[in-house]
Amino acid sequence: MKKGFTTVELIVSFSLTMVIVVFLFQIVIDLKKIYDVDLLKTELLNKQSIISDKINSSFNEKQLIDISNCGENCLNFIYSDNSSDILKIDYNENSFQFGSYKTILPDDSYISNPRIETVHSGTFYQYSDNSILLINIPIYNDYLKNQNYGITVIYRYNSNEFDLNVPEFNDSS
Amino acid sequence: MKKNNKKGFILAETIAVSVVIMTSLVIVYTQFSTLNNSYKTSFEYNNVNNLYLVNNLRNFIKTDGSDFDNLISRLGENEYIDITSCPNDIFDEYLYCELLIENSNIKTVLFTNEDISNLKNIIDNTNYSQNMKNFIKKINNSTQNSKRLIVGFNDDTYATLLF
Repeated sequence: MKKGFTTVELIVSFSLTMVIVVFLFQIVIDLKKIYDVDLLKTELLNKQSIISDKINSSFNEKQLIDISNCGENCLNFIYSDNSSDILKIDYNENSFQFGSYKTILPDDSYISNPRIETVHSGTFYQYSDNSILLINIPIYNDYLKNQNYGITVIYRYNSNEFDLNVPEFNDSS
Repeated sequence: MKKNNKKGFILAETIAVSVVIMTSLVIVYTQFSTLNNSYKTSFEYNNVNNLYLVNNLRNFIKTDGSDFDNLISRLGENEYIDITSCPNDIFDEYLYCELLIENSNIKTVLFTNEDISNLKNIIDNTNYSQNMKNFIKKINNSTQNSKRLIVGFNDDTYATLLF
């Protein structure tokens, strides 16, 4: 007696196999997409953390006394101990620099509408901080819809003691 | 003519292999989902940028000692105070407080005790967003006698710092 299988069984088996293979491919493709997106998010989040830490650490450790222009999309922050840090955005290179730290943004990422300005408010006491230097640099990516991986840094100061004038920061985004 | 009674095996084998493969894929997918949720948490909760912004607010409150004392006395036996609007009966420099909160892109600021176990029980009865409630429930409890700031930002990210 010969072992064998029927045509019907063959057809059913192959049909079932094809259905399963389609689902398999779909799962693998979805997992690959999730992996790629999360890799991109991780890189952007890391850069956001480092940039924010660099700027905030400098501002917390030293007293900012002046800001000057150092070229296109470039500002020089000068501290009371005569040191300084450069903040520069290079749209051609798609890079951001603060002090000695420079980073190139991932592909399809871009900086849009950076804002560096001072804002003032009224206060009751003349010795209280009444102003802030606001550095807002939004970073977006084409694959991450409207999610902002940029930084917002606030430096508090009292304009009655000294005032910070922010030179024009050209935005070529 | 004798009929061949031997049954084939290909269907049974296919089904058995398919079940094994599908089970392993489901396990892989659930692990990936767990990783994805962990990533979501690390981006939305206590990221570096937001922690520095909350630190600014905390320093503002601490610098003026009377603000901090006012907050503690106002908190009293309550589980939290919502100070998003910078009440002028708490803050001397309420205008500056409003400036800080607006430019930090902050949506909600809560001042609480460090131990928020009771807050976690009652937060579902408040009108805060579900994401805010989820964040509060994930904060680790502590029994030190300190105070805490819980901040929600307009982009649905959150951060908390102790005083």
